[in-house]
Amino acid sequence: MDLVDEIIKKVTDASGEGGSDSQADSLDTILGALLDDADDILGALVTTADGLPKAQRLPGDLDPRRFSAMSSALLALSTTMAREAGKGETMNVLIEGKEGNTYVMHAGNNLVLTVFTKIKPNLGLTLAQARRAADKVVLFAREKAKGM
Amino acid sequence: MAAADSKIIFAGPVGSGKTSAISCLSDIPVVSTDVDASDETKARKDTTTVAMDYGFLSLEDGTLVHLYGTPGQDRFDFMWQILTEGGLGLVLLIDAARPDPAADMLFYLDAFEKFIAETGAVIGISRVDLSERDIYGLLQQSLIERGQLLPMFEVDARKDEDVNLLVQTLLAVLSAEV
Repeated sequence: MDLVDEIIKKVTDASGEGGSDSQADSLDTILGALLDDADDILGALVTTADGLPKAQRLPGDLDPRRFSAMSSALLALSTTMAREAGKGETMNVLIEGKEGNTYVMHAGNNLVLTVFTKIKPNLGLTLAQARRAADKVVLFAREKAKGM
Repeated sequence: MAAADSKIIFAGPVGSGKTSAISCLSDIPVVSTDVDASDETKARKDTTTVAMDYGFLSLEDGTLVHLYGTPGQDRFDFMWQILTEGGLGLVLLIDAARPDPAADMLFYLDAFEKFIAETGAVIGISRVDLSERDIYGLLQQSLIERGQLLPMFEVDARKDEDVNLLVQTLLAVLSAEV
């Protein structure tokens, strides 16, 4: 866990964002930046907790509606399982596939970020990059809620 | 029926009482995957099931009936496939207060057609008190036109004896077919 935090910090520091940039990026910009910056990440999707697509950068012909519903179902069931097993709050769900990984993570209470990687990705780095994007999504949602 | 555990699936539209039905029957606190609703569901209730509900019921002969609830929205149809695997039968809950209960019923009968053909099903009509129409008669008519006869009851999905009636009927139908 410490290692991941450290990587997150490094990645965040290295990005050289102009100080305290309070302006939250749009979801589309956040996903675009994630795919631009992270060589191992091939696709990403933001959905509501109940499985509706909000923004996507998906490879090929992956249907965002279908993957949105699956993301919310996976995360909800995993969260329930971890909680009932006494493992506390779920950070993310990690699927290791022979052709690449899939991460599904909470981005605040009501949004979910799903990320697809290339085959044999750098696990710690891609997780940290995805988590950082999820944090940006949280920031975006917070700014948007404020504006309403 | 042999003394083997069985698995029953609850299906039907959002808000028809699937989670309630399983909660009132289950011997254990239900494993639920409710999240805040952001779709049209929000008009009816705050949360919605996105993966599944799970509980179980032990019968007098010691066998267990595993109870699985499905998400109502059709974007979760992949969960319907997953959850019906190995299932013995279907309890279809239809919400009488929705605009077109007959269309709802036909939609889910079509969606679970293969599963029902291989197993069996009963229909429970919920929230009847909130509709002034004769939904029971309407759905019966619709079933006759479809050429499919299924046991049908008006139920309160929050009431133990009502949900129990559905499950007992389903088990009876299934054991009669064997």
